[in-house]
Amino acid sequence: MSSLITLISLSKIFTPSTQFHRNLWIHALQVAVASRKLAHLNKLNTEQSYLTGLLHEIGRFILLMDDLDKFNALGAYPTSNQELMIKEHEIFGHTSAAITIALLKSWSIPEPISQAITHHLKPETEPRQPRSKFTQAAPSVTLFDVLSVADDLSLLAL
Amino acid sequence: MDETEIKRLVGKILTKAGSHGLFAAPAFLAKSLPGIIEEAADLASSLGLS
Repeated sequence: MSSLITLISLSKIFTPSTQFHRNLWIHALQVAVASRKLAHLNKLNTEQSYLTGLLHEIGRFILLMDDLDKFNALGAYPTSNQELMIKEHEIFGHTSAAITIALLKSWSIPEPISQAITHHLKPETEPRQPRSKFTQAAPSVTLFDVLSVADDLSLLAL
Repeated sequence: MDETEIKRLVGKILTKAGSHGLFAAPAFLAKSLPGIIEEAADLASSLGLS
């Protein structure tokens, strides 16, 4: 239920006006749906996984609202996330990743979700969530793993 | 999306899934991919985002 409320609320705030914006939405929805399916298959929390996918690039929607002209100067979507972040920094002076991470804190998004997204956006940060609950030989799958694969799946499909 | 394209995407994603210790059988991904795309498109349409 919380994911549905979040989805409807976000759709009312971030209304797309160009194909780039629509692709941004399609990407967020594809990652959310794929995350939920992968989480179900791997016996993870499907609601949390869906929200993780939906919110993983929420900072990009904020950039869109901040300055439409600058946002459109980023170019066509999709491109590699790394390329987009470099462009964001050049054009806006900061990246959507930094905004996403700040928003997750500000909105008090549950820790498993915010940690998975933070680690996804900033791989150099160590995930505080243990990768293995029982043994070193059989690491447990985390929300981060699901998000990472779902994100690639969507970028390939777009 | 034709079958060849789906197989190509599935091949790529399996490598990634394996590196994350994720169980993602080829048949599951091949079956799920069109559904994921379709469900996201339907959601976008119903929310007026497409």
